[in-house]
Amino acid sequence: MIKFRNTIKIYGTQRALDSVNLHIKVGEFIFLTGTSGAGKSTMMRLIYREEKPTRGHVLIGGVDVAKLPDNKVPYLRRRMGIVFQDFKLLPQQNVFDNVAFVIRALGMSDREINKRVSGALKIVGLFDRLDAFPSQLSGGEQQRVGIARAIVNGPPLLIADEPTGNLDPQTSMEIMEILEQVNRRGTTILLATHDKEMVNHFKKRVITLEDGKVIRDINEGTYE
Amino acid sequence: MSHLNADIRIIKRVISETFKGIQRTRWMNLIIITTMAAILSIFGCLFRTSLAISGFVEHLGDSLEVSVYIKQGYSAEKTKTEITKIGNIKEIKVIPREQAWENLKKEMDVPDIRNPLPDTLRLKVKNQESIEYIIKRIKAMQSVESIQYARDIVEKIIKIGNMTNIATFVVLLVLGGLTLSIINNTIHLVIQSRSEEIEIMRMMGVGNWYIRAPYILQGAFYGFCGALISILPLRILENYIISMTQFFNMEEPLVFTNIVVVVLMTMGIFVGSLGSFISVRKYLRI
Repeated sequence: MIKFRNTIKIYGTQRALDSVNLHIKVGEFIFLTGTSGAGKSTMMRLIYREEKPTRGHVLIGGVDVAKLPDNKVPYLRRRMGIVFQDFKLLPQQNVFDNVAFVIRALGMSDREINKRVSGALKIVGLFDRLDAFPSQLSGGEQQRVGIARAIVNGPPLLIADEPTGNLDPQTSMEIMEILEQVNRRGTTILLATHDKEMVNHFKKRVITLEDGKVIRDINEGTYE
Repeated sequence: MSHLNADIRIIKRVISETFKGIQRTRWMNLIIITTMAAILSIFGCLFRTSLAISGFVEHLGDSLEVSVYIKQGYSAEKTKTEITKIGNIKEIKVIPREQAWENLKKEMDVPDIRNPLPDTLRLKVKNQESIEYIIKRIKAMQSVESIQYARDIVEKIIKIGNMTNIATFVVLLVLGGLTLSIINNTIHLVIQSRSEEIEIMRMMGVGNWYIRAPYILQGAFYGFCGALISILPLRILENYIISMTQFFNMEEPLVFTNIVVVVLMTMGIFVGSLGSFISVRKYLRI
């Protein structure tokens, strides 16, 4: 599903990613670990084509994203859901609208939108909070809205950059369980995290970055 | 069919997003629409006045006659044909010396002498600016004794006409640029205040035009509202112009105001959307 081939990303004089080779298969759940500045975020930004590699390739579903013209980028992003550490919800819009606006822009009918938003909110357990605004929700609930928004279009890939970074351990576990459930439905998940306990608890494939290089890639690994 | 339905729904939602955006811009709407209305009013009134002046000048020019006196022994009819060949002649008629003499005798108490008048041609030109050239050509004709016309008036008419045209054009450029920059800056502010929201939409794969179009439509909306309001002072000016033209006993073409309204609307909407389009291109990174 995702391939990095000798991928190099240089910012100024700094090598954020250094000759990375990786293969992520459909349906995998991957923890991406490493210290701050190790290259986790850069890797994700390359996947959703916020950045282009300086050298090498990033292939998604066989498509070299660096060669993708700018006007095709939205189509790439519709095939993936993105979850952020700071949730990034629209503060003036309620839960329903926060989840719905993405598929509204695709021209789906109101009926289809209702069906999909309800489905996504049921998965994250927030179906009863449709009318609430982000400010009325706890951090954990806000992140659940973020996940619902990321999965509402049924993307094959979900990218989450420190999704539990702002949450307490118990809430983090709840969020993880939701993501695991999403993964069981067939969505590939790439999750960057610092959370040692979480990584050790869920025993997934763990890819560790250091100074832009992959220094460890272990199935059912733990946090080093 | 389902594709078309989806497109229609997208257009509907873009329009609804536009109005939501306008609602959220709140008091700034008022300022921007008032400013647009003020600028478009100035332009509209100047443009309308300029049209009235051109109309007036045209009317004056139309009533100006050139008299061409024919040498004795030459045919007035032949000269008429020659002059017509120069082109740009609106009308030309021959006044035989006998008829001119009869007319004069009717108007004045003239002594009973031999008819001293020459055959005369009376002509009007189509375009006042070509009058100098036409006169020169006629003067060069062998059969022509002399020519008489209100030269000073013609020159002034041409000058006034040119000046109003230039003034209108300059004002159009200046005010057009001003409007453009006002809309551009307003939409820039709006985009800035919603940068996070735009960022989220981009990340979620919302299409470029779905994000951009509401801002461009918002600019067009300001232009439209401004133009609509600017019709009011135009109406007041209209009354003055009508009373003026009535004083000069000339008919004022009603279509003039309609032209100005159409130009104002087009300019408002065009400049409004262009201003926000530039802003969107510059500040809304996709």
